[in-house]
Amino acid sequence: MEIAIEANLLTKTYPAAGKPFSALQEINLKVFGGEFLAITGPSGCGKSTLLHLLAGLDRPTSGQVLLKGRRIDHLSETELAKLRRKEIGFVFQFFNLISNLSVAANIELPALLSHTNRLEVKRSREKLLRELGLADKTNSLPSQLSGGQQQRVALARALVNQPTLLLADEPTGNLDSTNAREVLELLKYYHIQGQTIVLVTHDEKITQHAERVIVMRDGAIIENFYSGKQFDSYRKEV
Amino acid sequence: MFSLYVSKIRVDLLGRPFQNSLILGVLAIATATLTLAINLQVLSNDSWEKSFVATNGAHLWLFTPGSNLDLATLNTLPEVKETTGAVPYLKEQFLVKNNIRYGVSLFGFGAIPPTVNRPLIAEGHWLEPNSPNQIVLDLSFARNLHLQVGDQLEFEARDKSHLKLEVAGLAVNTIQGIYPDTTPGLAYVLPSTLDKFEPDKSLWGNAMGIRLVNPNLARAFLEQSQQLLKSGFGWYDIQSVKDSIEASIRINAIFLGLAGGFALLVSGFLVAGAISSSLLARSREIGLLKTSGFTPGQVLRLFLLEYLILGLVGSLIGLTLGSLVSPFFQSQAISLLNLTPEVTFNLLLLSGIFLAMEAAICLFTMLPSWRVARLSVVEVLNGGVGRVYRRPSRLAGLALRLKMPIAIVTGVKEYPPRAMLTALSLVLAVVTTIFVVSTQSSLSWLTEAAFRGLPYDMAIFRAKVSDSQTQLIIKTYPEIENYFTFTERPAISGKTEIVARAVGGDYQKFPFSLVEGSIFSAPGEAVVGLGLLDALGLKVGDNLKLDLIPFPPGSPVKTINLHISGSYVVTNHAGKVVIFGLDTLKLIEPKAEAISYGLKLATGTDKERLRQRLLADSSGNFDISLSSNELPEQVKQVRFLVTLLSGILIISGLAGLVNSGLIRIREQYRELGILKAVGFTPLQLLLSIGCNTLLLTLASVLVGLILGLVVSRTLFDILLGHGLGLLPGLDWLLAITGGTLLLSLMTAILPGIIAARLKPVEALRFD
Repeated sequence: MEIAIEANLLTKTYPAAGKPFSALQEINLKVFGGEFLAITGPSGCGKSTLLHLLAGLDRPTSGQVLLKGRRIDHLSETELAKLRRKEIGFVFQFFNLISNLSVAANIELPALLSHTNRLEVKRSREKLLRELGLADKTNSLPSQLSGGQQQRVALARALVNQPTLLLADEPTGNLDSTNAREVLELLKYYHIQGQTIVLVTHDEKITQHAERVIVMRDGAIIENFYSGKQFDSYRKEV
Repeated sequence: MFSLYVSKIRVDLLGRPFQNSLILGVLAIATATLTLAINLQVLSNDSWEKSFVATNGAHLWLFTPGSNLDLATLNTLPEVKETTGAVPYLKEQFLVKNNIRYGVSLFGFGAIPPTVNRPLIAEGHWLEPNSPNQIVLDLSFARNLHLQVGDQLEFEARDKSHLKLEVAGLAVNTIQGIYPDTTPGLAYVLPSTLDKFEPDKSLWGNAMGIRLVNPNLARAFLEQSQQLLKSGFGWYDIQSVKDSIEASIRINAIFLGLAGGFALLVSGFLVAGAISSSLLARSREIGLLKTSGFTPGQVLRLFLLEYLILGLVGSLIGLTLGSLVSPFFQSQAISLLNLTPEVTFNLLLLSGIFLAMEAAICLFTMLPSWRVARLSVVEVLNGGVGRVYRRPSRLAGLALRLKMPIAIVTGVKEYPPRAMLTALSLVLAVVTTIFVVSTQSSLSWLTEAAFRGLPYDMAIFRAKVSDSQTQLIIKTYPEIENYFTFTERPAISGKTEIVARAVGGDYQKFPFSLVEGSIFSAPGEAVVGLGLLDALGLKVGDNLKLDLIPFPPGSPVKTINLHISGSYVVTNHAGKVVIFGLDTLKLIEPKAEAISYGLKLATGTDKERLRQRLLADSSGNFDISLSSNELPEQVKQVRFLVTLLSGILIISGLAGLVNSGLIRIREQYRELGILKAVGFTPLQLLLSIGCNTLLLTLASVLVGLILGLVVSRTLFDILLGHGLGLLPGLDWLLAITGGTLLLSLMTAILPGIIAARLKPVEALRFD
């Protein structure tokens, strides 16, 4: 199976008074195309940092990140921006929608940045809004939507360019249980369509929706296993 | 609690050096502008009264052409409070500079000047005893001819011999109006120096300035004096000098006052914009303080103290800057406004400015911090007073529909209301620029020789040559294309002194600039200067009765009745000039002849060479003057000052724009992080920020252009007369728009670079 994204000996150290703080220590990770991976661990274990490095939102202190076999950690800011808009979709805990743009404009933003044909962008946006149950909210503002609806818009924005990789950082962390369940169902729906997903969560229950789970502590991977049926056999290998 | 305040303020002031330096800079610029503006306002306000009081000005001046009349006998009258004593004078002596002769009246003051109408030294010193080679010049005369203390001046005496005098000082006085609006120029010498010009004392004049117990009874006093002296004498009261000086300085005072007023408003907007933006950007911090137990009152006190400390430092820097710059502006304004030269360091004024700044800081700190402090903690922590949009941005929607690049779409968003303060200061800067440009072009237009009532290239005053002989000489020169003849008479209508100019020859071929009506075509018709129409409350079509001042004194008064056929702008004699045909003058003076000749020369004529040849042909009996299109020095100075002030205002407006841009970056930090996360390149972010700034500037410039044109038109209508004055053309409007947009784009570079370089992860974590 093709590797969607790969991290080799990935290290991130932050300068601190006295001893530098090591957020990630020589992480090795492979995410295969079409895989749904959940990264979990206690607060401060480095899971969000790892996600940011995979997304090209931050740069590693050492090590490599390869997207579909191509190194991305040494790309310029402009090259990274172009890569993010085409290949990587990102869903944040706090939705991070542009407050003065309508739902439609928020979703279209990355597609228009990629110079996709406007008609095609409109078609993709309409399809996503239908799938996400927001067809009647096209012209609403983010402030006029509930938290769950805002997160669905954020999901649509992340998927509009049909990225290689969908990264989600605590996507349900700011939602009530009903909305959280709906968002997870949507993630599973897109996973079944073939979307590669890496999800970060501190909630173990959510990891059950993923195929594979990585557990981190103090900047290192301490467990890596397949959930459900695969769990027992895989754990023995580790 | 106090120690908590101190430590929190200390942390805030030292821990946010960039933001605090920015606010400090804006406050300093605002205070400096305010100091300069108020200093100019104070100077230009009631400048005439100040000079009159400072010189202990005379209410009335009496003149006798010869020295045989003892004016000093009037000292005994009870209406007289004090006098200058009889002062000998010589009228129309000539200063020769670069082969041009400038008329000057010499007053023979003693080494100790009189207490009434005492000249106030602006530069240099007063005449020293036993120094007959010294001269003190009137400040406006010296400025106009670029004369300085220490210059050796050449004078021509009546017998054509030449005298050299050294300029000892420059002085301000209220004896007469400002040169060149009032001619001849004015200078003071020792009586012994007058001897050198005219040894025959019987040809000297005698003048006396009188301060009356009741200045309103000047007319009755004159009649009484006439009976006492039993002889005729010339006179003028201070009202005519005041009218003349106020007419000369009116435009200067208004221009300076207006520029100062604009500066005042801009400083207010700067302070309001800088502080309220900064405070609102810190709304989350206020929420955290409230979470820690701070009451709204304590939050208010904390921020008030913090910004007052910043205000204290900023105001002191600004006051120092303003006080350093002001003397330069003041010294320029002194000669523009014919002011007394005593510009002193006004501690009271500076304290007032300081207190006004601190009060403004209090107001603009209290309003937004009280607004935030009253919100609930949850509201503040969830976004504070950040703008809650109720509908999608229409501009962004429009940009999307117009298929503009997405970077522009995200940039074209509406500004929050507080950004309107920045916009307003920018609007004022543009209004000032339009006004300055209009003033520049209008002043050039108004001071063109033709417009000043001098529609000729060269003028000849014949002294001992007859009219017919003069015309014969003129006709021998092929380079003289046309000429007209004229002669002037001092006249009076009611109490208004007027110069009556009788014109003959080919005057129709000369560019007299008529504002309304037509040039005179029949005897009894006249064209009148706008200044005279204003003074007498007349209009074209009215009749004007003119009394020609008798010469020699005592001879019967001659009256002309004129029909006003047109009006024109003339800037000398405060516009109180009337021109009519020589045939009209001949109705009451059948033997009247032209005494002067205005010449129109062929293009490329060497004027100086022609002048020398005409002098030779007349055996030196012609007085020849060249009219110049060069701007008078006074006009140049006011142009320079207003331009400089406008530059300062534009810089202040742009400083506000940079500040607003940087504060907005801080407010939008998280949003910029989102844009970067979804794939905006640094260049696109720069474009987005630039577009945002451009939008505000464009709106401000458009409003400023319209307002500027309306303000300039209205002011010109009031100051100059309806329809007079030039507004900037399309080329200027485009240049102002382009220039301001370019400058504002430059101010967006710094915020843009900060935005482009931000790390998305840090920005997304930013609260």
